[in-house]
Amino acid sequence: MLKELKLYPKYVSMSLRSGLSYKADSFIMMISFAVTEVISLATVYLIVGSVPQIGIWSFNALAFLFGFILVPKAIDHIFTDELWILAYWAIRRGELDIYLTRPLNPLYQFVAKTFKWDGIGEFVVGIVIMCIFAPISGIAWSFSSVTVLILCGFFGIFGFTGIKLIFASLAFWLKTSGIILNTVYNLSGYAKYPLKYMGKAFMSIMFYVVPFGLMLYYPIECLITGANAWWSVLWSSIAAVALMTIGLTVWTIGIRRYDSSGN
Amino acid sequence: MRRRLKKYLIFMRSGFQTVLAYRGMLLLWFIGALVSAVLMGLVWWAIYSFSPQSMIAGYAFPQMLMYVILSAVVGEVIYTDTMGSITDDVRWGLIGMRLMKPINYRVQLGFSAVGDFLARILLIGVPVLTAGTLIVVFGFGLGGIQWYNILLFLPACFLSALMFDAFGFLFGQLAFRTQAMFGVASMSQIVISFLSGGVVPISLFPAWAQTALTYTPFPTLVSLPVRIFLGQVGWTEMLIAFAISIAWIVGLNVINHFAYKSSVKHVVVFGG
Repeated sequence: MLKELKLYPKYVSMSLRSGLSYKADSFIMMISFAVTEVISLATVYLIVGSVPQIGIWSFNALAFLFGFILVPKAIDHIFTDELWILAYWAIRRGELDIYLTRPLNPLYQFVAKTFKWDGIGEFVVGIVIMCIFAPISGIAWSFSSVTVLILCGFFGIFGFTGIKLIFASLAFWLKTSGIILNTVYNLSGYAKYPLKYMGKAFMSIMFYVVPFGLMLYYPIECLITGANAWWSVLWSSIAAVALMTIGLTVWTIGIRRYDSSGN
Repeated sequence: MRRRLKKYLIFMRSGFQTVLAYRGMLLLWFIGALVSAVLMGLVWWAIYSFSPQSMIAGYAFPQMLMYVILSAVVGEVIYTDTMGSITDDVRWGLIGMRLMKPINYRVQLGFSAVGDFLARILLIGVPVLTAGTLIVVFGFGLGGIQWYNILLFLPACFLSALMFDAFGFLFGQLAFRTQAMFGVASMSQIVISFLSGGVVPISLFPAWAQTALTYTPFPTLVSLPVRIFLGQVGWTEMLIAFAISIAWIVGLNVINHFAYKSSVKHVVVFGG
């Protein structure tokens, strides 16, 4: 573990240097992620703006929720984007061979080799939106509520990573699982809407099956209603541990049956 | 002329067969789009249940539900892969071979896109639209859909596919200049989808944005076929809209012609 930690800055530096040799490309990617999210927020505005209020949710509160979701999503994007490659191509093209011959954890090597600094675009948009809407979101700010937000954001990162790891690792069996991962991952986009009013069945799925709702939506709902938000920290941490455990288990079982397709 | 056309019809057949060969993959993509449509339906259900009026931006809930399904279908059938083809050709170094052949690269991609569209509308468009319409008509009480609107929806989608192909070629040429085509593709797709009414009806946009959009080709891309299906477009408006569509397709292809002349000078062929 210590060896991996020591090596990580070297991996980041390698990835940054290779990224910086295509500065314009990285800049285009960063802008494109930022523009995509701004358009997403405009969509929420147009939809939600058609009614004065959706129960406890005003547009300002939903915009804050939108910004909050972007932050863990962006951090996960920056550190573990390579999992998309696992889901789409790595198994089919036999790209894992090289990682199995080195004396380092293969998952660590695979994930660490890419540091996607273009995710900073999403991160900045998320932070800016949060800063703009925090004072008008209807949340009673205190040291406790800020701590809750930081902790839930932190666990949220592992929520995204866990889901990606679980469904990307299915590629060990299916050869390619990108479309399935894409469909499940996109559910996170619906945590920015008022789940409370979108039907019990869907809310249950978003809380107990693919817990983006539990980890991203529920903390903000607690902060808005004034409910004890520390429960959301507890549930988020449990969900993060559960998702990462399942993800690592699926990866471990999957990599044992990995069979190189050659290249 | 006939011989030349025959040469390009092969690419149309190839585009059609490629979609058929990867029908499982297409189906999975479409299931993803359908899940999104169902979830957007739930979002609108929540919105309507808190709305003081039964109509939002001129749509009652069943119409909005149909709008969501139709925009998902239109999105899937018209989004031909012209940009992806250029990106792959450049990335894998195939562009050199493509340019050496006595075939116009732009026309080849255009015919391939038509084949792609025809396969998508047969495999996905017709069955999903039939099921979706039956569900919304009989399950949610949507009325006012006429058989001629359904028939006219098809040529409107065809024009949209041609326009999307023209956009794909325009933005796809950036592959000659940048490696960041994933970013270009995702950004252009989301911007085009948003401005063309693929995410929410254009009537929800502020008045100034609606006026500004009438001077662009976007409303004819998704909004027009969907509104035709829903019976919201009169005969005169439809004829004018079709004429505007065709004019934009021609205009975009003229722009493409000149842009391509400049872009092709930047081609770098990898490998060999």
